[in-house]
Amino acid sequence: MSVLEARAVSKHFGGIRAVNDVSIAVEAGAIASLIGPNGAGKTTLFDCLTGLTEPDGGHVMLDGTDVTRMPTHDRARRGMGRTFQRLEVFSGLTVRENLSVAAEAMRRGTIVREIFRLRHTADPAVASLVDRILDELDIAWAADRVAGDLPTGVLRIVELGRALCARPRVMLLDEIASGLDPAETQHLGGILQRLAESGIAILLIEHDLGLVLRISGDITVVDHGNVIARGTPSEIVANAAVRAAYLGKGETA
Amino acid sequence: MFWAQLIVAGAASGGVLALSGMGIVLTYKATGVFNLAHGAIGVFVAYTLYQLNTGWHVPLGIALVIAVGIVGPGLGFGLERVVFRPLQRSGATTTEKLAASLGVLIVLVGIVYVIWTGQTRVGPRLFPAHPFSLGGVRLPFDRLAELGLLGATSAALWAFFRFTKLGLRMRAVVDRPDLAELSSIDVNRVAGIAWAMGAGLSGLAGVLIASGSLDPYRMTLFMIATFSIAVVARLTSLPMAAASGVLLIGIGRALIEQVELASTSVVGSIYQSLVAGLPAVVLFAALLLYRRLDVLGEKAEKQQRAASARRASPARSARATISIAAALIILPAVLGTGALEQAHRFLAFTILFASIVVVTGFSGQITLGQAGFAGIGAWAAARIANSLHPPALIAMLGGGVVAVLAGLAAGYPALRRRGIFLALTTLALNLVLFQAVLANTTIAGGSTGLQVTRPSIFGLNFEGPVAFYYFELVLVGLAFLLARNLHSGAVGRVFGAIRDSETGARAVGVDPRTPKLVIFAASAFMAGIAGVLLTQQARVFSADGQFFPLQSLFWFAAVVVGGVNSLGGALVAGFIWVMLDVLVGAGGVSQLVIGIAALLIGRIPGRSLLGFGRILFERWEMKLARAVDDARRRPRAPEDTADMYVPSDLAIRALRGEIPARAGSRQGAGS
Repeated sequence: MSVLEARAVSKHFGGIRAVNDVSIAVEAGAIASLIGPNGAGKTTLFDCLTGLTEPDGGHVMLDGTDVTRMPTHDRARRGMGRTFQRLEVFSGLTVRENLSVAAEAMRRGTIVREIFRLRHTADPAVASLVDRILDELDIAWAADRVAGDLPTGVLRIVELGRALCARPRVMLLDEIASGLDPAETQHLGGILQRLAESGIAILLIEHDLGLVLRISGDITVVDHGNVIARGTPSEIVANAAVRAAYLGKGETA
Repeated sequence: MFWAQLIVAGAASGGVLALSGMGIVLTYKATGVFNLAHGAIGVFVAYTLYQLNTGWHVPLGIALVIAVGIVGPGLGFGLERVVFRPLQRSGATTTEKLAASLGVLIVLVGIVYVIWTGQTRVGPRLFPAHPFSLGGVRLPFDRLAELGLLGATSAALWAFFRFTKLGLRMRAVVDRPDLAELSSIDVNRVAGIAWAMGAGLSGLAGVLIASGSLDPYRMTLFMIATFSIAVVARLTSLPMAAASGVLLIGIGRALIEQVELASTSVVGSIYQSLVAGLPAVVLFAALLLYRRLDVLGEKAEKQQRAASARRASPARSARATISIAAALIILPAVLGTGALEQAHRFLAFTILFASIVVVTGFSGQITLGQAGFAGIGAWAAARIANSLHPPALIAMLGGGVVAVLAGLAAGYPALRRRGIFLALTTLALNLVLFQAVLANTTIAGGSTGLQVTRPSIFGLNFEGPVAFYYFELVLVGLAFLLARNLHSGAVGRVFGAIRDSETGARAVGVDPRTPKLVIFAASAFMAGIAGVLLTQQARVFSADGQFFPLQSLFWFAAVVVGGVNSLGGALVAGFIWVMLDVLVGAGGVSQLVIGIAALLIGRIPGRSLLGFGRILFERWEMKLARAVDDARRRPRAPEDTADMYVPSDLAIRALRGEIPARAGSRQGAGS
């Protein structure tokens, strides 16, 4: 069964159909990719899936539950993780604190009690989870640096780590490789594949076609809010409509 | 006949305010800065006209041209150039932009008070008031003229945006500043002109309001009415601004004023004071009722936060905390009785300012309502103490709890509002609280106020100045402990996350609603207790003197100047606010310093006085370290080569001149 499924999701801004009847699904342990030119509606679809935008039509299913009307933070608690194309890191906190916020958000009802405590006790489970993920993503060196001081490429990995600390079942990654050099992208591809092997479903928005073709099992191509093609990497490479929309008419790839 | 006169008079007075409201919308749209000092510019222009015409006998026509045509627009143009453009360019946060416009407000109001002493003056009349017959109905000519002026100005603005090239460019800047810049429109020039036009409109409205009488109360009302008109117009629509001024603030008030309730009952007195402060009620209602209010230029500021949130090392802040605490503990031994009274106020304001640090610095929510929270807490505590005579601590806690309720009332809109709209919501709540409760003669004692006694707890009497000082100091300690708990550990991280990126916080499972309510409640509690202390210090609760709503604006600016990101900033702000006047020995110095520092906030290294101090200290430390290094490495005279090694603490003492350098080095070698 699909972990995350969009059923005929639509979102209009005035007369513009940013997302038009888009359906997409991703299974546990699989990497699915969403590609298409800038302005094709990919990020808007992510916003609909995570609840930052309310869709005008369609349904979002998480583990078989309809979450279309559920607030963003509840979806996150049910296992929907996300990174952002326009970074949303906590720039005044350290990298370790960024990850800890996510790990701690999963505990309930502590805020009022914690305000009146005399000395605060760190939760060892949170600390070990954060340390493990810092190590896995090779950002332990930056753990105690204030996030706002780090370059964009590193912050994308910080956002990935932050999302992982919330123990997601599905991850929506929005252009996570942009700003990385080829070697770093290669490395990231390996990390994503390992995450998928651990059972996490991954939905990827990515402009680096090399990365997309290498790691995804299933690719959906959108343009002007519509799905124009869907298939395995080899099918997508061979698809004429994709070439026209994605590479520009008249160009040959 | 009566109703026609009533409606015309109402429409005219509302129309004049609408002019000013349109001005604020104009500048906000073109530059993304909500100028809190907008009304103050109008006030300043009105006093300028008074000075020129009544004071220096310049003929009215010429005086008008100078005041409304030159001083007002010139002020706007200059402010854009000197204050706001550099701020925009350096990517200032909403808090900093707000503080800068508050700085302008403080300086302008300060000038008005210093030059014209804030007393009621009779300003020149612009239009004769003699009646004018229109279709058998006799209407006052000045009212009709004011309405005509509003019509003419609206038509001119419409034509300007519709037909002139500059108007077209301004519309382009408003819609897409980024694209406008690309298409070779000089955005700076457009912004300057928008500021000049906005300030000009405020000046025009100011002289019309002042026509006949100039007094601080009317002028305050003028500023608030300006805000409410602009917010009803969602800060975007000029026609809506004109309409809301005429209909709501003008005719609406004229009609509501016809409904009278006996002011002796509590309900009646609240009703009356709310009608008197109708613009504040309209402002609050609009902010509660509008579902969506979009903040302009919000995206652009996100990148910038990190620099301001950089923290001092824990070891250093621990050292600083211990030395400041020690200094505060021994302070009464040093101070005389008069200075001790000021130290009382300093401690109370430190708690008050910490309450602003907590909500704005730690969690990114803006509050211009602290005078409301402090006032309502102090009022409730005084009422509880005077009527029920419970133990002193219970009365104080009661005050704190009532303040928390007010804080929750502010926190609830904060769930949806951000940036300037949140700031205005808290200000509106503050105004409504002041009108309905604090300034209410029936329940809050009016100008005499309420009697307040200093506490006596567990047999300890805190009546004496030294005893009361230590009582306050203990509360400062507790408040700082609470604040520290709000800033550290998991809770502190949640607030930091919401401050830096609410979207990011939600995406990892943080529900921002509870933290926001908690932080407003905590901040209001601290403010409420601080308010109680202020009244205990003065032994009286007096709304006008202690908790006038404009104070909220001054306090916010003071904290931003002191340093809104840490509790040290609250101490610095408290010191400037209370002690600077005492040290300099002249009133108003602290306000002037805060005003000027706030309007230049973008140019202060470190972006606050605390930050600046930190930079200076670090520089000094580095210099010292370098000097020590040099001292270690400096090639010695041959006979000295044996003792090249100098222990650093001795070297430091040597550099301070406590011990001669040579002697120090020899001792070091000997040990």
